[in-house]
Parts: sequence; C-alpha cells; structure tokens
Amino acid sequence: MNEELEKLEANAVAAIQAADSNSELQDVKVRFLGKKGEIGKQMATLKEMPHSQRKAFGKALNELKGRLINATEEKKKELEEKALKKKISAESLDITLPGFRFPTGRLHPLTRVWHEITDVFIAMGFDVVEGPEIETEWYNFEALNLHSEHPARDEQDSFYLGENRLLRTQTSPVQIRVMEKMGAPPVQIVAPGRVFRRDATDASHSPVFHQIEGLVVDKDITMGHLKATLEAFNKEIFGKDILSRFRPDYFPFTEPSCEVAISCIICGGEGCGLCKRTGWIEILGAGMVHPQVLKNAGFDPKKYSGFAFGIGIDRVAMLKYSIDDIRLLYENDMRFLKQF
Amino acid sequence: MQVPVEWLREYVDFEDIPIEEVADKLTMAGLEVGEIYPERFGYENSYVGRVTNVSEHPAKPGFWILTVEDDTRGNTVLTNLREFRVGEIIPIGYEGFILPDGMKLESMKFGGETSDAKILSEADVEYSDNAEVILPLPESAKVGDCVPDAIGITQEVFKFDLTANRGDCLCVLGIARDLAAVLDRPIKKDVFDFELETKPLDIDFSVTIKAPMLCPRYSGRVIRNVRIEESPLWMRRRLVCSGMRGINSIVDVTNYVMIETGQPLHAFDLDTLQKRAIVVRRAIAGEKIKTIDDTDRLLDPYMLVIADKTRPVAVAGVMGGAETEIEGDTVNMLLESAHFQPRNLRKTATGLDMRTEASVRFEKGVNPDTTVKCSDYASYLIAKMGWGTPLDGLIDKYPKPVKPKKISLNPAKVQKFISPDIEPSEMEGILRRLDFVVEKPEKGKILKVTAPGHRFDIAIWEDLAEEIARIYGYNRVPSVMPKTLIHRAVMTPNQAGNRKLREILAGCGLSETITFSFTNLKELTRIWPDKTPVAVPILNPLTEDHTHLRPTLVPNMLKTIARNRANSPDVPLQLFELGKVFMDPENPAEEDALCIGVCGRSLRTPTKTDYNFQLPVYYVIKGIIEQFIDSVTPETPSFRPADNVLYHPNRSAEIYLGKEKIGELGEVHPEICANFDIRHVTAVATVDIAPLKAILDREPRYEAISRHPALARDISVIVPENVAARSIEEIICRYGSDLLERAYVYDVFRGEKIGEGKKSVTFALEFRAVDRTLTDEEVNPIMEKIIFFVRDEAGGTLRTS
Repeated sequence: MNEELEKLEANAVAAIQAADSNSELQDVKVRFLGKKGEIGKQMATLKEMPHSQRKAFGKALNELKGRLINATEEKKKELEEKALKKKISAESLDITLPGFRFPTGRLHPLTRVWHEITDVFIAMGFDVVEGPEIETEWYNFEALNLHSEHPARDEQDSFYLGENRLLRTQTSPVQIRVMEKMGAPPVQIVAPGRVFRRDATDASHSPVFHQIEGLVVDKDITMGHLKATLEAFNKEIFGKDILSRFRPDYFPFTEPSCEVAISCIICGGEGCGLCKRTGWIEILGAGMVHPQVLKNAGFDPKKYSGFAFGIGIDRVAMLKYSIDDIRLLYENDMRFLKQF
Repeated sequence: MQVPVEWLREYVDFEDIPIEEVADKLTMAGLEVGEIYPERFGYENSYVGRVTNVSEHPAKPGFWILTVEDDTRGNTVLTNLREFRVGEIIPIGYEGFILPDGMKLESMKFGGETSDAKILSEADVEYSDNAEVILPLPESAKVGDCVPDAIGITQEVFKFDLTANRGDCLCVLGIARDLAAVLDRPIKKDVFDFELETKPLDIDFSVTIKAPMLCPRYSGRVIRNVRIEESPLWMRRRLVCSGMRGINSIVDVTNYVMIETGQPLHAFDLDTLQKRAIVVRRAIAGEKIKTIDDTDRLLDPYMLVIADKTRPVAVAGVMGGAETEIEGDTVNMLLESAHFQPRNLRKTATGLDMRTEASVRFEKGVNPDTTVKCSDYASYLIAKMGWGTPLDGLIDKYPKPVKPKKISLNPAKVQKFISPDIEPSEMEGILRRLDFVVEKPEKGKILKVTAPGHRFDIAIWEDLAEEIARIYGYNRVPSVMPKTLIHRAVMTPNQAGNRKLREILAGCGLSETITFSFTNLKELTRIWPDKTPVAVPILNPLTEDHTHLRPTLVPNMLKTIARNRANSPDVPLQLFELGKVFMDPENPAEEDALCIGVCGRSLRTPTKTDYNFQLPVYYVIKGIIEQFIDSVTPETPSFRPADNVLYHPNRSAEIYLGKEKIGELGEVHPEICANFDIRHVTAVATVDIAPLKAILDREPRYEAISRHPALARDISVIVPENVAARSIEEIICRYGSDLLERAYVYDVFRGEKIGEGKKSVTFALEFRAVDRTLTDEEVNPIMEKIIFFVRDEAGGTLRTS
C-alpha cells in the first residue's frame, strides 16, 4: 500500500472518530465512501495504472474501503448508544407520583354476598328465582299459615300500600308462587330479594334488608337433608372448619322448625363479644315445610315433603366482613364501599 | 318471660346441674334462655350500714344528717324520714345505685350540706311503690352485706326469648314441665294439690255468656271480707323477679297465680256490678269504658267485653274497668277466671293499643281445662293469707268443653322424616314426658296421641314429630345430602342480566350503591320542580322521609353524593345503583332501574398540572355511558338534546340506541344541586335496562375483517359554535361511500385564526376495501365529494393548514 492510501486511511479514521453526531458521521461517510468520495477518486485512478500495479492497488483499496465501512458502522452504533443513554437519562420521572387512571368500580358488599350465596346454591343444583316486592296478604301471610291475628305477626310489622297490598316482610311468599307455577315436584330453588319491615333503624335493624329463601320439595325429603344442605352452605360461606348447630325454633310455615347457628367465626366457639360468649352465632331459620303450606300451594302433603330456609344476606355480609352496624350498608360512604 | 330459678326448683330438682347447662338444655329444646342474670343487677352499690352519728340539719328544720358506716365505707345521708338513733342498722344505697327509673344515684347538696347516699325504701328496690317505707331488713342482715344479698333477692333469673307458639310456657309451671321433660325428671309438686275451704254463698250473682265463640269458659267466685294490704316480702320478691311489681294483696295474688300457672285472673268489686250480674258479650257500637289505667276507651262491636246489666266493666282478657275495681272498702269480690278466643282477643288488644300481661297470655292460648283450678288456687291463697273468705257456689259456664284431639302417629313416618335412629319406644317416652297421652293399639304400630290441654299448638302428626325431635335433640339427627338427578341449575334471565350489568358497570369504574326503596313528595319536587310528583304512597309510613315508594333512583343518588362530599370534600365519586322503582299508584308495579352519578375529578393524574384541561363533567358521564353501552352491544348510541329540568339545559342529552330512547344524562341543574346541598358540578344518568338486558343475551356474530391496510385522511371544518360535531360526522358518513370504514372527531379548536363564535372540528377518516389496497386515486374523489357536501349542508368552510 502506498503512502497516499495510508494517509487517506489515517484522515478517514480520524474523521470518523471525531464525528459527534449521526449527521456528522453521515458527512464523513459521504466524504470518504460516497460515490464522489476519496475512495471513489482513488478507484478512478485504477484505470490509468500500469497493469502490474493495478491488481495490488485495487486489492488494497478494497480492503481499505471495507475497514472504513466497518469503522463507520461501529461509530454509528456507538453514537446511537450514546444518544439513547442521554435520552433515557433525560427522561427520568418521580416514579412514586400517582398514575393516570379512572376510579376502580366495586360491587356493593351486599351484592358480593348475594352473588356468592347464589353461586353456592347453584353449585348444589338450586335454580335461582325471584318474586315481587309488592305482595298480597295471601302470599305474604295467609298462605304461610300466618293469619291476621297470629301472634308471630308481631315480628313482622308491615308497610301497607292499600287494600290487601303490602311490601313483603320476607322472601317466603316466593315459596308459594314457585310451587304454584311449577305445579309438581321436584322443586329446588333459592329466591334472593329485598324485604321490608316496619322497624325503626338502629345498629342491628333496618326497615329494608335482604333475604334469600330456599325451598326443596320432593318425595321423601327429610330433616337430615335440611341439615346436610345447610351445613354444606355454612362451610362454603364461612369456611370448612365451621360447625353448624340446629335448635328448635318456631315459624308458622314450617314444622318442625329450627334456628341454625354457626360456630363463632371470631373465637371458634371459645366465647367472645361477637357470639355473646355463647360460642355460636345465629345465622338462619329453617324447617320442614308445613303440610298446610304445601296444600295451599296445591301440593299433596301426603305424597311430598320438603324443607325451606331463609338467610339474611345483610347478616351474612356483616359477619363475613366484620361490619358492626347495618346502617353502614345503606349509607354508601365511599370510605366504606372502597373496602370491598 | 322471666322466671326466678328458685321458683323452678320448687317443681324440678336440678341442684346437681350447673344452671348454665340447664339454660343450654332449655335453649336446645326450643325454650331459648336469652340471658341469665342475678337479680342484684343495679343494686350492687348498696350495703347494710350502722348509723354512727346523728345531727340536725343546720339550715333545714326537720332534716337530719346521718353518718352511716360499715367496716370499709362511710357515707353522709340527709333524711327527713324520721329521727334515727346511733347504732341503728339501715339499708344504704350510694353513688351508682340504680333507681327504678333507671337513674343512678348521685351526690347532692341540700341546704349547704352534701348527701352522698340514701336510705333505701321499698320503692327503691321495686318491692312496692312506697317510697316512704324503709326497706325492712331481716334479722340475718349483717353490717357490710350488699343489700340485695341481705334481703335475699340476689338470685338467678332466666330471661326467656320464647317463640310465639309456646303460650303454655308463659308461666313457671310451663317452663317447669318442659324442663322436667328435657331432664327426664319428675315434677315434684302439684300446684293444684290443696284443700279450699269455703263459707256458704248467701248472695245472688249471675254469669251469662252471650258470645260463647269468643268466650268458651267463664267462672266467677265470690270472696267476702276482702282485705287490701301489702303482700308479704316473699310474694313480692317472686313477682319482682318475674318482672312484675308488688301492688296490693289482691292484685299481687292474681298476678302471682298468673305467673305460676299462666291463667290471668281479674277481681271485680261485686257490689259495684249492677244486679251483681256478669254478661259476657260483644261491645255495642259507641260504648265506652274507663279502664283501670284511668283511660277512656271507645269500644268497637267486634270487641268482647265483660258487662254487668247496663255497661261494660272490663275489656275481656285485656284490662278491667276503673268503676268496678276493688278498693279498700270492697266487701264482696268477684274473682274472674276465664278462657277467651285468642284471635279476637289479640285483635282487640291491638285495636285498643293495650298489650297487657293478661292479653299476651290469652292471645297465645290459656288452658281451658284449668280455668276453675286456677281460680280455686287463688282463692286458696287469699284464704290462707287472711285476705278474704271464699264462698262456695262458684259459677262455671263452659257450654262446650274442648274435646282433646287424638292424633294418629306412625313411628315409621317419624323415623323417615326425622331420623331412623329414634326408636318408637323413645318417641313414646318423650311424648309421655311432655304430658301427652299415648295409646298403643294391640295391633299395628300406629299410636293414638292426645295432647295435654295446655298444648294448643299441637294439631298434626308433624307437630308431634317436632316435639319428639326437639327433646331427642336436633343435633343428633344425622345429616344426609338429598339425592337429586343431575339437572342444570339456572338463574332467571332477569337476575342473570342484572348480575352481568352490575359487573359491567363496576368495570366502567362505577362503585355500586344500595339505598332504601323509599322517598317523599318533597324530595321528588326537588328533582321535578315542573310537575306534580306521583309515587306509590305507603299507608303507614315509619318516618316523614319515607312516605312513598321511589319512582326514580335520582334523589337517593343525589343524597348519596351530597353525604359523601360532606364527609370527604375531595372524594371523586363515580357511582351506580341498580334497583327497583315503583310506578303507578293506582296499580302499583315494580321494575328495575339504573342510575349513574358522577361528581368530582374522577380522572386521576400524577399532578394537578397534568389535568390541565377543564373537562366538563358532562363528558365524563357521557364517556362512562358510551363505555357501558359499548360493553353491552356493538351498536353505537346517539345523543340528542334533552328536555328535562333536572339537567343543565345545555349540558344534557337523551340517549338513543337505534330509534329507541333508552335514557338521559347530563349535569344536574345547579339549582337542583343546591336543593340537595351539593356545591360541586354533578352529573347523573338514568338508563332503561330492560332493552339492554335483552341485548345481553344476543350472541355476537363475526364480521369479516379486511387484510388490506387502511388509508387515513383528515379534514378540518370551520363551523359556527352551535353546529353539532355529530351532524358533520353524519354528512361525512353519508357521502363517504362503502369504502369509509370509520370517521371520528379528532380535535376541536377555537382561536383568533378561526374567528369568534366559530370552531374548527377535525375529523379523522379511515378508508379501506375488503379485497384490495386502496390508492389515492380511488379515495381523492370521495374526499372531494365529502368536502363539497360539508360546505353545502353544514355551512362549513374547509380549514387548510
């Protein structure tokens, strides 16, 4: 290689190294490697060169060209990396500032529990049905063995809307409506819904609350079936270690009737404030469907038997989420709602 | 119902069982013991003290200042009861002692002297109403004793929460009967085992039942030479422990017998009854009676009264009349013991708003078999205490004695229904323990069971099954999952739809609220200032706010927003409620409705400066509605100006899906916001969800997507402010040909360059063909056509950059 080429290479490498930006590098590339660049000019001299020198010079020139291309590529890479680094460092953020977003929407705790309870029963083969909130005396009371002067009506003071029309005090009237509609067993339903009682509001009473009614009617339905079903429900909702206790109670539309309690979810039965030191928490009422109720709905009590239950959705929500005042459920304070 | 444990022990032995366990056994048999409490309750701060100093009050003549002490305490007592001697032993209550009215004793000053305790009277421990009589201490009382311990009123009391069917347990005897059955122990005492001595009857009196359906049995006995005095401490103590108060000898004895046996009794002054006649009849319209609580009552013809020849003298089974009440000068008393029909009695008691100890028992059923026995028992006690002389010649009118009902019981059925583990012999045993008569036929296995007179609630074999199960123990019944055939369990489409919608709404950033179903007309007028509100009225509302059923969810939404903003002024609110509303007062109907509410800066940005655009809340709620509908259906809603005074007239719209109006949205009119005390811009939307639920069920159908790239263009149009972007968009779409896939507002710009009262709206357009890549040559003529018609139809000018 002759001196001239050596000089050219030195100049070119120096120029490449000195380039500080992509555009500068591009200029250098044009100057040396472009069509009319320095390398090109040398190429043009080849034609006039004696044959003996031409081959060696040509080879050297090509090699030089290759080296310069590599050098530019490398430099290009280097410059890009540098630029990226600079950009990244300029883009630093306070990563702890809040992000850009809409509020998270949440379902009300009552809805959550409503869904959870119905899912448990659907998994056990119960259809989910519904009934009207405006009821007649017949469905709400009479058909359920609660005649107008029944002492048990004391607990169910009602809101009246007019002749014979009232806001249902329980979801039990759905039992009658469902049996009438189905006409024949098997019946296996739950009916969640809103109920109304003329009770003044306090920490544990609300004139509006929610229940889920359950009804199973078929041949040979027994109290053992009632127990097993509700034990399974309690375990699904409150945990697999939960125990269930059944004790006699009274509802005019079931016979026998029972009240079901679960082992205390706080103390596990040792006795604490929540369970009033009894170890048990009352959770629902149930019983074997009274034969008169079956008759009222057009089913033959000699052929069929059944069990029914009513669960307070508000009560389950309060127990599950440790809510100590039922009014919180209807005040809709965001500080409350956003916890669910 | 509360029962002193000591009284129960008279009937059943259970000294060997801790009372908590006894209570638990009763509870598990259906007689729930809600509470066991020592009757000392409230009386803890008391002691038997010795008077150590007596001096006259320096300023108040007739008052003395006593120093009373025991070994550890000392108090100063001011009194004007009488002069006390040093060394006297007296009952003292000090700070914290609870008086009958529920107030706690406190120190007080009188005439410059401080008194920090008081001498306890009979009234202070509710033995009697007599506040002037110092509570007598028994000889056994020792200085330093707590007063209730000293007088022996500290004892456990069972407080029962009884079910409505067990009227038979509203007495000591009833609880004792069940307790004996539960423990399988005998009843030791027959309350009716006594010898009643009587003197011959020498006056005439009569009993006539004119309404035998309402009064199946009525008995009367004359007792002469009645003595009204204070009853002895033991009787008053039992009454107090049972939740009653001591009044006088005769009233106390009738109450005592009622508490023990469950039979309410009433005492008339026989000589005040006209013609000494008792007539049991319905009231006559317009008749009045002054009852012993000194209240005049207007009677209705459905009510049963006890009358004499001319007037009602008692509301049967509820309360006696003042004019025939026994007094200190009563010579001949008529003791009533009767049985009344529960239903009518309850209606009467409710109608007169008088629930008395007697009515509560009669309405749940009183045993007609023991009407006379209980009367005799009271007469026996009166004679024994020297409070009167029972005469013979008791009149007992019982025209149609109740025949005990025999129920056939198939033990195999009970086994199938309750548990196969209960042996028929055990069933028989349980029933007998509960006083049922069980007859076993020689052939077959069907038992004939007769319920005792006090068990009205037993009518069918299932009732017997419950009796067997509750004594056997519900918890011993084996749990067995019912066998069912495999079947598909489903929700109603309505519930499935509501559930899906709630989940979508939460997904749109809305939190769910649940409120009461009530409203009132005032509240409705606030949101509907231009019309007379119509809503379903509640005939017997509980409060003034809750007089009607809500026909709309809006007021509750606004109240929820107001309350939240008051509690947490900066909280962003994006809320929804999906609940029932009630229409048509004539023929009330219910349907599901949806309301959405937005208030505050719901979009959160890192800093306030980043939130540098003044986004009208209208656009926030519109965006939510668009997102919500987009989650439900591929169909795009359109929005037209709304005409509803609830809203800001220029920031509200009706929502259309196709040709159907499905709702409204908008910023709430500032005046209406002010009506609800909301100071921030608030938007609400109401949406009919029935059509949306119908769409939810629709399965999506895939439409082919082109594999060729889109060709994008944009166009900026300057139009007057009042031209809606949507109208330009419609023109673009109309002339965009099949190739225009999408056109949407990209930007709206205002400024000097554009001119006052005008805006520049930029639309982004995307063209695409299914089968080829589009070229400019194809799209250019379409763009020209669009530009022409936008100018022509919208009066817009094209803005060139």
